[in-house]
Amino acid sequence: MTTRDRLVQTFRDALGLSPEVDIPSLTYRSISEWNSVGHMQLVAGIETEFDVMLETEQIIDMSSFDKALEILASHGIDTAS
Amino acid sequence: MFLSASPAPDTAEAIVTEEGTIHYGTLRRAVIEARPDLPAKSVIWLLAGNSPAALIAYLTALENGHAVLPLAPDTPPARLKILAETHRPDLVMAEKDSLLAALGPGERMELAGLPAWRSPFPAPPPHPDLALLLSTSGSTGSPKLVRLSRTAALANAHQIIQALAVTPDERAIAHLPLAYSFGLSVLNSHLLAGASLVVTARSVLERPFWDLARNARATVFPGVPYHYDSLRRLGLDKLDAPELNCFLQAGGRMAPALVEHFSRQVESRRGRFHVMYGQTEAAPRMAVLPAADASRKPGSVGLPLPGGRFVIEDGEVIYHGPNVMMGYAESRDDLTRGDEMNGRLPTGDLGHLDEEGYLFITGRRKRFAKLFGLRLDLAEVERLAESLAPVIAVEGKGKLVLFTTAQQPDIHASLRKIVAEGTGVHPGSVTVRAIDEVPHLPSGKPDLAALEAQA
Repeated sequence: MTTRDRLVQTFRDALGLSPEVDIPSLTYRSISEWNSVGHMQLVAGIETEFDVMLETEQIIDMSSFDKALEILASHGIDTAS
Repeated sequence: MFLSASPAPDTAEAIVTEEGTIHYGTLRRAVIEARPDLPAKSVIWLLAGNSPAALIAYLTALENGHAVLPLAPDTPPARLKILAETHRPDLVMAEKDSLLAALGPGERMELAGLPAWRSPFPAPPPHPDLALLLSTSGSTGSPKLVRLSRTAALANAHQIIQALAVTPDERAIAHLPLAYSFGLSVLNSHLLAGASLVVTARSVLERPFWDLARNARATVFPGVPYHYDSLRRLGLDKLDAPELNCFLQAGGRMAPALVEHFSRQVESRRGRFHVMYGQTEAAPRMAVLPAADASRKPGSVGLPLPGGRFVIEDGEVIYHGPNVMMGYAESRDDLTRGDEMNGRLPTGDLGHLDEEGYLFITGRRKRFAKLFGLRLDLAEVERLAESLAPVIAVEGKGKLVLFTTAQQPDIHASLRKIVAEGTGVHPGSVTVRAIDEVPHLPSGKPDLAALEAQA
């Protein structure tokens, strides 16, 4: 599974989203599930799945799926494949 | 009333947002100019999130002598419809026109720049003392409203100013919902003190929130335990809001360890951390823990506000003070009623006072499970489990159900054991359920009714 696919699955699990939701297009609060409670779940989910520890700056900057992908790349995770 | 009684000069900053600043003079003029053409005392609802427009609408209604009910803009239309049929507002203002659709036929107009709906049906005028109405529950429960008099609302704002020493130099972040009594009291007390409000609809998990806090030189952060959980994870000192130095916590019990953590951290930046205790029924604050006492009185919610006092009757906390509500309203007709409480509020909370008069809340009178003849205080059950994992306890059918976000089976087994031993309930009657997240009400408190439905 690619990093992108794993991140999609992490979003789905952490926010409890149904298979129809187009995850790569999501931004913070664009859906009711991605509220402040969901955001902390998401941070925990990403940290577990990718074995990383997000910095404060990264938590408050993770305002979209694409941003989350960038943050993974900054942790040295290959997001191209 | 908060605005007209505020000592702030017209040149002082009242509202600071990402878009700009509104001075007290502008705010005063806006509120007079938007004076609604309504019978002397009408009942006005406001469906809006945190914005300068919402604040101006709120003050327009209140300062012109009407009774106001702030409601969350995401109130489901079905609930709004029931609420409106029961409590029959004279006028409803909303941040979006679409929110008015649930109200049925009525005259459409504009007031203070917001779309509004006017009822076609006459209703009895509310009691002359009535100023504020607040909903007691979030998404669930009966549509019961708390009736607050002008005197009680003003008294509580004065009490808060005195207890927290709010000066005109303070700049409080108004991020809590307007429809939430804690959020509303931050607005009321800071306006009355002539202080500034940093108004935002953003959450603490967004960078623009902290950019605004820094640029607006915010000094006061009010939050519920959930916000402090987030702040702990983010790290207060990494957020670069150096002038933020007064932290207020209300909205439910926060674990003493977390209070201790923030008290120490805030002390190191020469600030203060205040635990507060209240209920919507008390307009809404009753007690404040002086910052200096946080480590000396762990677990306490503090001392009564000036002019208030607590007595314990059969274990229940009873509050006496000038800020107690007039009573509840279950229909529009109830709004004609006067004061039915005489300044005495049975809180429904269980607690005790120590020898110095500090209040400790130990549970909720109504949050009892009755199992096999045992009367179990559910808050006590949660405290038993606290060292292992965060738990919310509810009564299921003939069993005690513990909801936890901990997923590991061995923790579940330990939870069952520790709770069974601590309560005397058979381990077979204790069920542990893993949940991904705790459902929350708009106030940030756990949605117990939703969990009970799953138990």
